[in-house]
Amino acid sequence: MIAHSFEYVAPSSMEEAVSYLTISGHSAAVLGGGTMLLPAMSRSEERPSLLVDLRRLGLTEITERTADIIIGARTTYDHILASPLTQRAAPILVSMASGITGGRSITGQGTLVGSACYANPASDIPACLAALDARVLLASDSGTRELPIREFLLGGFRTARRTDEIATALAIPKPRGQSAWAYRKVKLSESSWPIITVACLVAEGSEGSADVTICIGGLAATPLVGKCMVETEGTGSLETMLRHVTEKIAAPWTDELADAEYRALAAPPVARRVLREALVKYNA
Amino acid sequence: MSGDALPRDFQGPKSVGTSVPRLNAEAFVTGAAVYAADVIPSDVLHLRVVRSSYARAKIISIFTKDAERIPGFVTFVSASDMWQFTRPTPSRFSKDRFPGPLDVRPLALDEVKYVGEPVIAVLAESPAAARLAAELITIEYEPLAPILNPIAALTAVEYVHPQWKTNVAAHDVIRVGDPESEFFRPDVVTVSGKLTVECSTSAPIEMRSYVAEWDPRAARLKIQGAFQMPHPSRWTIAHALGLKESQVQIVAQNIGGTFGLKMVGHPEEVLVGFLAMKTQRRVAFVEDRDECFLARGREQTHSFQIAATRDGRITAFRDRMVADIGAVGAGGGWQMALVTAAVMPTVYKIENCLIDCSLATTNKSPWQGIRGYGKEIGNLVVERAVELLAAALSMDPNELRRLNLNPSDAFPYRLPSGMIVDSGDYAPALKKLEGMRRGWPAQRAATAHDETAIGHGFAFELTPEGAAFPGAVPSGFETATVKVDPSGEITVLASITSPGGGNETGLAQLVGDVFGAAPDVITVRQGDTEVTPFGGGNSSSRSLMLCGAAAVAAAQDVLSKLARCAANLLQCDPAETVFHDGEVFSIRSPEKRLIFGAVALAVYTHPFSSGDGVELPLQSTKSYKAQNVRHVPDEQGRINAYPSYPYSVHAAAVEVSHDTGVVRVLKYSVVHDCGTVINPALVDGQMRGAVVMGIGAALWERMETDENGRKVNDRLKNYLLPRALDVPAIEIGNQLTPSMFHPLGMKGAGESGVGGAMACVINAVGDAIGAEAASRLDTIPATPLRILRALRGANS
Amino acid sequence: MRENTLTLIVNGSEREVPRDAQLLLVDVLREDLGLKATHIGCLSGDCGACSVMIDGEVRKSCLNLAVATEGRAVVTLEGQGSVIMRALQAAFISANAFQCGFCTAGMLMAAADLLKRNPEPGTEEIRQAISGNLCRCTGYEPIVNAIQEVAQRK
Repeated sequence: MIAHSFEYVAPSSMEEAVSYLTISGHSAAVLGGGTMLLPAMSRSEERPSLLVDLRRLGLTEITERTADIIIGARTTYDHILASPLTQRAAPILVSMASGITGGRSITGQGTLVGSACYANPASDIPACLAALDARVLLASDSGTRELPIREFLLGGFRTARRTDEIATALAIPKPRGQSAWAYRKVKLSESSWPIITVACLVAEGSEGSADVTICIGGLAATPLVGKCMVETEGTGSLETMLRHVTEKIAAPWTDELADAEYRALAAPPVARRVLREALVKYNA
Repeated sequence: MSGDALPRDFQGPKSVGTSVPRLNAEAFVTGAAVYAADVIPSDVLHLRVVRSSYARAKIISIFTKDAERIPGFVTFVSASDMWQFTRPTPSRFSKDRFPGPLDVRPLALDEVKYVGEPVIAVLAESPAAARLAAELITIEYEPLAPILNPIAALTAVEYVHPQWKTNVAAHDVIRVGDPESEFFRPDVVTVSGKLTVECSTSAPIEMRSYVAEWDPRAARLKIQGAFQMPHPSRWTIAHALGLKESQVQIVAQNIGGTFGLKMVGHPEEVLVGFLAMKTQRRVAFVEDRDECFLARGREQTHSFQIAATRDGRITAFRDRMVADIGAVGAGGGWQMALVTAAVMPTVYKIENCLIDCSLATTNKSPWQGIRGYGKEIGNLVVERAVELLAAALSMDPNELRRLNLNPSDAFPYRLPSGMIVDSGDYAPALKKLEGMRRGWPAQRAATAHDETAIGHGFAFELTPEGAAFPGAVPSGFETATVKVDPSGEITVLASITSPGGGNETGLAQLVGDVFGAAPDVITVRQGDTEVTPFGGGNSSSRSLMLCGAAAVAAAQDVLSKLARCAANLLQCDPAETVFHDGEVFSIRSPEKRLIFGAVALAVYTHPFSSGDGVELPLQSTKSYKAQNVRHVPDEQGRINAYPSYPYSVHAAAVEVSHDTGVVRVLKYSVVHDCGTVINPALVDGQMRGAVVMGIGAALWERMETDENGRKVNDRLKNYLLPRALDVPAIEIGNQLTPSMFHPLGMKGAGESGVGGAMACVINAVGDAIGAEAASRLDTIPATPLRILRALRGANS
Repeated sequence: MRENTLTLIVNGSEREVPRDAQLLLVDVLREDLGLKATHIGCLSGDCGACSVMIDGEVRKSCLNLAVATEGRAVVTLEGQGSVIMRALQAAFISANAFQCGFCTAGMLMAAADLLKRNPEPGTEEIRQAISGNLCRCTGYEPIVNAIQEVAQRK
């Protein structure tokens, strides 16, 4: 039982949902999958006075919209795994979703948007979304806006979502031309949350070059991003980029499971392997 | 006894030695099995404990006004409200070891000794109201510098328990031969090492809960809950509350795992009783996971040396250990550290040993029992020492083991601590295990292309079982009542409890065999102090070993009474009666058969004719006291508190990533010998569970404390228990060396596996990262960071 | 603001329970409906002892508010009478797939959910399917064997 009392609403339209947030201001919380929020409420770590449940709003679909695929606020990891669209247009998300721990009771209930809003640096979502150049779609009484994920994630457990806003969807740009990807994470054991995540995308650039994006989660409060252009296979520019990304981290992330020392030791070799894997796929 | 004299062939088939299914198994798979939290009624008062947020501080003031305004708040109790009406909670173990007297109370009076120590008990009409009210109680503290480093604590001039004027709770020096001079002989190779073991916890999936009910008219207190030792709990609670033992009833439902957690001495056991008496209402306490994590154990450091001749004969071993036992509570967890010292050097024959063991009190929560009970760490230290020595001698570790194992004809042998190892056959077990590695991935180093290395590791484990510490309540015996009712129902009332191990099934097998009855017709009752005889409940893997022997004796006694009656009815000699599958007949004329129930009924209905000569009642209570226990010190001044010495030898193959230090356990095999086995499947089940617990403790499980003495881990998300994908299948081979000190040849089973798993997994990791790096891997669990540090030339 | 009862569909029957947003589904199942097969081991979604079926999918009942399950079909172990569940229960007994039994209901739920979607899972798939459920007693192997036994029998 959750100790503190709160009001619970399950509005049937987004307009109604955001209007609740406008009225409640800071003291409201949005309930998506609930896999993080409800335990925090059970433990009295979160005490919203109003809980706005999105369950009547649908928002579980994965759809195509011009240059993007749109992932609804209530899309779960299982939805990602089952969708032909993500298989085709964002296979890195499928790979990520297949490695989520906790069994189907978690993968069928936890949502990608919820995880993005929770903004745990030690989780799968931030680096993946950053590598994909995803955007977060936000709605409030005063309209809608879109934020690139890198502007959305402000720090550990901090986002740019205003308290009167609901994150309604993620927009993921569809790949153009030839592309390849790789994703790996480091966990201490099955019970562990991800300590380091590395997502790499290689996309066709101009004049036969390849644009490489690598995103490393868990090293700092927000994903570290490196980009470079590779004209030929295996050049030193990748190593320079990696060093640039993984060294001199202003505010190294640390939590109960792993300190900064471990993260700094484990991230570069894993990133190197992910880069290599993505480039091999790209060149194949 | 006539039972023994019966022609055995007519009584088969025997169930002892076969893997009959668990008694009442259906209830567990249909959800009908009742656990402690299931019996909490809806109209109880809910207890929430306000706990200290400081490791060491004086309590200045307590402010409760805000809490009292919470709807549903009923009352609160502080130590000053309670001390005058209660007495100190006694410890189940003798405190003779301690430097002075120690009063343990459920609530702190003026000074807190650890983060999480109960200070105020809050009662409310709902768990939510109790939680909210507890949050609003403000305690003002004057913080004192906490004593957190156990080494520094040994010589500190500030004390966790000020009346002791020392932080050394106990000190034991175990010595045999002349270890000092052995290490200085020119012809020996000496290896030194350190090993730090971090705190880990039992973490059963069911947390503790209790519900207490005071009947003012009868002046009786009933507490139902997760008690693995109902009678010792009744004794401690009655003492603390100033009641006669007959005024207190303890009832334990099915226990959702314990692994040592649910032994005697938790403050809430006394609190619920006191509060039920005070409020005249039923009072319930349900622990949450964060509170469950207050149970500490295993935290200790070792500095060891081992010496051998160049051809690999181990000549000397010494170890200086300091255990961080936290504050001392009413529980007996601190005793584990003494057992760690006492088990060394385990299976190896080493003539010169010195083990210096100090128990340091610190401002951390008290140790609670945890599976392995200290033995796991003694085995780990010895096996690490052997492994490091093998590397120094450039020998195969198993060759070194073989050279130094106590030989098959050495039993019983005496350990330096005075323990008498009853029986065993070590070398064949190792050979058998080596043969079980077929199909394992080969050992290999990491390469540029493949960051993973594969290592194999071995380890022996000697697991003293059946603890009978002098002064313990009770020490070294268990009791069973066997009765046959007029309907012919055979019931065993056992002094032991079964938190999952299945000893109720073992009792049914043993007793069923005596009566020629299938185990599933036997009723076994446990866990209710009004129903079952006094006993130790569940601990030290001794339940079936001790209570099983008692039950067999009681059953044979009852059988002899039934045999007298059957003989009257069959007009034969009692020695000629055969009990088989619900029927009774004479071996001379098997065609004439009586129904078992009819014979039982005749004892009740026709005591002057058919039942003539039967010594009533048709029930018998017997105790079995362990053999091979000596409380009178031997010539070296040592006692032996353990009757039986099962052993096992373990092997693991692991894969270690040189990039990340992450370890995967790929393969696991073990050869186990616990003497006579009653139910092989249940014993194998215990071994598998213990091995996985050991793997967890070796690699992932750690309870961290910050520089202020606050526990860092508070959830199952940050205390990493092994999950299904973390562990491989565990292949088990068996050997059978009966104990010469038990009527059925039994030894304890249940804890064996934790220490062997810890040691062989660490040895396998060491093999994977290479001997040089392995010599730096000196802290358990071997986390990925520690492995990376070892690989990069730094100590853990 | 609303009527103070909530109608849940539990084990095929409509049940009236208090409409109280603070109640987790597991609270209502255990305390209001007396369905004690569903256990509490963490209240943080980590142990799986409270696993039930919601609309035919395995879910942790500590991660769902009772009010949010209005109109959805909740099935606990008490209400699981399917052929697969009965086979699983028998296999759990014969394989000694439980010791203390506290995690068993949740394990059975996860297993039934797996076999419904994947009638012939391999060992790794079985281990994956129960990876959200903690067992501290068995070391998992007997549970995996029990599930595999049922899968192979079909």
